[in-house]
Amino acid sequence: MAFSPSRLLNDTVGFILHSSLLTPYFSWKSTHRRHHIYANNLAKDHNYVPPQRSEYARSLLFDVHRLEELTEDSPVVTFLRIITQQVFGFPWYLATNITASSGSLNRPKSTKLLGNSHFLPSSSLFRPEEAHLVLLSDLGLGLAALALWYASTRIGFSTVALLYLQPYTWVNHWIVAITYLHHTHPRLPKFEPEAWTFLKGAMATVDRDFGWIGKYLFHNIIEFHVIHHLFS
Amino acid sequence: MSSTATPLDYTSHPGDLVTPGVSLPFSLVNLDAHTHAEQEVNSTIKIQDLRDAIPARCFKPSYLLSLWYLFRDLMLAATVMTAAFIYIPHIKIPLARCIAWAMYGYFEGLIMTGIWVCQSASRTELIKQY
Repeated sequence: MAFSPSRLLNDTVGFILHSSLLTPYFSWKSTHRRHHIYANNLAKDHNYVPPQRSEYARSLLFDVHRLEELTEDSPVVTFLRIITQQVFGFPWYLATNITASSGSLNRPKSTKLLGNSHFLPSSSLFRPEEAHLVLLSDLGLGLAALALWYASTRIGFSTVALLYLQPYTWVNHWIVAITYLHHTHPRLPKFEPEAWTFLKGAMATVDRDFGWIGKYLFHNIIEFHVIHHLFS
Repeated sequence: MSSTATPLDYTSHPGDLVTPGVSLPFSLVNLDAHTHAEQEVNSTIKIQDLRDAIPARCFKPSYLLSLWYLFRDLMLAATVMTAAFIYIPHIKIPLARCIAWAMYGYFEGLIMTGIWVCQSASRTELIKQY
């Protein structure tokens, strides 16, 4: 029910391509699977779980009643936040599981460096049975990094940076932009666990139109997110 | 809690792996002003009903089609990257070279994102809907 009917082919192709784009394949596959199971469940979802108003206000050290007045018209702040989110968002998510709920963790939340990341087998995200998958994903990343390092010794670091790191940053931006906009809309609900069902969670994602880029370069993922959640 | 003792099940449909959180009748929990009809629909439509409404052919992935898209994207990415590698360093004017690199970055980023998407995230329905 995916790229091809063969699970082995899917995993092989996925492993090679994701690793070459510096994404840990099996680790991401595991958490993404769980995101699909618990989509839009405030207690369990992995991605874009918003803080409650009072939590958010507290994190900014404001009184919650003043939150609206203090944040409603700050285009510069919003702009800086967007840039930060787009440039660093995906690696940040892989490294610290940011925007995930606490119910997404399998072990108690860790305070160690990368303790909640997609990279360590001991991470709070994974169960012990998945350790070998995480290591395999890391191997993939390591090989990709090695290839990049080798390329930079042959053609120079700045060329590799221009040829690869630049589009790579764009890829991170698109991943965050696409998934963020798929799961966030002022009129869409996120559900408390008591009110959540799989169907309601899946229906609370949003399809958007992205013109010919969406159709021909992005393989229509933007236009079909609800179906993506409903049927896989 | 997500499955703790057994390995993650990658073949069952996610909707079959979890039960709804609600233990009260639907209408008591849903406090927004939905119409009664909507509530009826929401509580009686199952995923299988939605799935049955879609032609079966849309759920069958095609090796050929998927591999073709992958091949196409990889060729595109490789071509653009090689072209940039060979030609852009020869542009004399620094500003034009800068702009060329930026444009390359943008387009290669789009193609690479397509490749990223081409993974198991690329579902049949998406390909078939072309």
